[in-house]
Amino acid sequence: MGSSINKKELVKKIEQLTEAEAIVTENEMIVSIGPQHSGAGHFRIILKLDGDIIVDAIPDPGFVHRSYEKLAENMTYIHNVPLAEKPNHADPANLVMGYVRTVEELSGIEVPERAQYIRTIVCEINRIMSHLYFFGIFGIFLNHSTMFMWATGDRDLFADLNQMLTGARITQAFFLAGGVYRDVPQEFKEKALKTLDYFERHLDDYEKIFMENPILQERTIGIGVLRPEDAIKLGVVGPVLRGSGIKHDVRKDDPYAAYDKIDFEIPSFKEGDSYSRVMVRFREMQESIKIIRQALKDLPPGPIRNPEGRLVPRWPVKSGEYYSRAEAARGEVGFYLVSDGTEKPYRLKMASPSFRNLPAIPFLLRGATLADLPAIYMSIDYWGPEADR
Amino acid sequence: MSQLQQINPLQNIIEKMISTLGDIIVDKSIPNTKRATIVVKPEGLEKAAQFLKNEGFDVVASVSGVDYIKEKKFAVVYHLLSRTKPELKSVILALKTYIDRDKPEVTTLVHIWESALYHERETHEMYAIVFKGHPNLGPLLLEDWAGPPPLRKDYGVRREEQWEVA
Repeated sequence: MGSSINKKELVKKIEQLTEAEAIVTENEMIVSIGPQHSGAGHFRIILKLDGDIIVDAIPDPGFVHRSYEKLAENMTYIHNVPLAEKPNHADPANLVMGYVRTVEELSGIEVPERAQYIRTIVCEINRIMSHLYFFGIFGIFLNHSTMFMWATGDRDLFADLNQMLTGARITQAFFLAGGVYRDVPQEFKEKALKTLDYFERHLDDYEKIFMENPILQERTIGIGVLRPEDAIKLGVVGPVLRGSGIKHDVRKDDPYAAYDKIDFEIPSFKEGDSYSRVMVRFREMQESIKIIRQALKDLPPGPIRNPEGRLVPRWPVKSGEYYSRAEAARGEVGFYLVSDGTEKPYRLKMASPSFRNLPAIPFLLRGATLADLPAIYMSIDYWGPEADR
Repeated sequence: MSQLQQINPLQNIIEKMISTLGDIIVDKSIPNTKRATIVVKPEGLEKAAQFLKNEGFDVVASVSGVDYIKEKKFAVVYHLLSRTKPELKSVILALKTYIDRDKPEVTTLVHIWESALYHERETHEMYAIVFKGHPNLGPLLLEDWAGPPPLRKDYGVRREEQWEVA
């Protein structure tokens, strides 16, 4: 029998582990995955392996920490708009949505209906783009390079839509408290509908070559099962939560923008494995198509900004505190704003979805084999900068 | 009363909390039917948390520290959600406590809500607030950080022009 040896000195060099974590038996070894960016983000998982079984997994975030919360306290409310989207360039509009919503609800700023609909369109375009990013990376991690090519190519079409509508392909900084920056261009509707028609057809092909692919199914079905009670215990959000059969989505629970006026479904699957998390995102893209079509059809006339939410650094933000949220592509993003009535926030906390999904990574990896790591880890859709902020 | 119960379950929970745990509650505010803040004494935090967990708040959405440097105190705020009670799905409840800035210590709530694990660790890192009983308060996001806790108000941001040129 292998006597227990303490490799603490060796282990200390790679990470500040706790006493218990640093004890490794003779049969075990420590493997560090990351933090070099290999498509998985700047993030390290320290694995304790016995053969190819993962005995323990210790997540090590922080490689792309940019002190978002400290910077936010030192910037005016309007400068905080582009800052709020920086943690996640795949899904910027949904993060900004959470921020402007918090400011609006604290100050009681009304948003015109047309702006609500435009926000919904931009948010859903971003959701599709983020999920396509996921499908590309998830595909390439499971050696499905066609999925990577298709998803990356289609993502560009939605970037084109973003460019037309907001002026930027990614990181749009398009929302401000009280409305949006620009109105919808004349030719946008036609182009958007054309793109959506194409994409909807292409999604059927995605289903055939990817979701129904026996190799993909073999590698993901029954792998990394997160039971609903564990999902609640760990506090996960977004597709990870809905993949475990818990149907919670801020767009329905606590509606914002025009989501309460639009008819759409919240996809959820009760199996809780990697496949169901991927499936949730796949169905969500189909729902997003539905949402954008409806929003374009019902787009009401009128102003796009409340004159209260001016384009100047000094916004009328009341003193007080408020917590509000939005449903980003990776799950619920929460903002806790403490205002003292000055032009800068006194405290702005971002509870980002990736940070809240972080506990699921070690939980699911423990006991799995090393070969299942990509299927489990990638299905969380963890975004390093978003978790580190 | 029964109609009120249906309309606002949040109000109900807070009233029940005041009647059972009145001695530890310092303040409350209910801005609308979806949000509420309850301020408790630090020594009553665990009791309040257990009560709220039994009422259906089963997930910690975030743990925030706030540095009130002029009043010489920290606030620790837990934002709570419910996944199991459908009537509370639109509700976010803030459980707040104020602690002395010179002795920033508070009991951990990880044994009640496991979802607070990384949030408390981050708050400890950014404010040096000690969560007594937390299993691991080691560095999480910062590496080899020797300076003061960065989110405290007495730590300023260095601007680009203040950087020293090597």
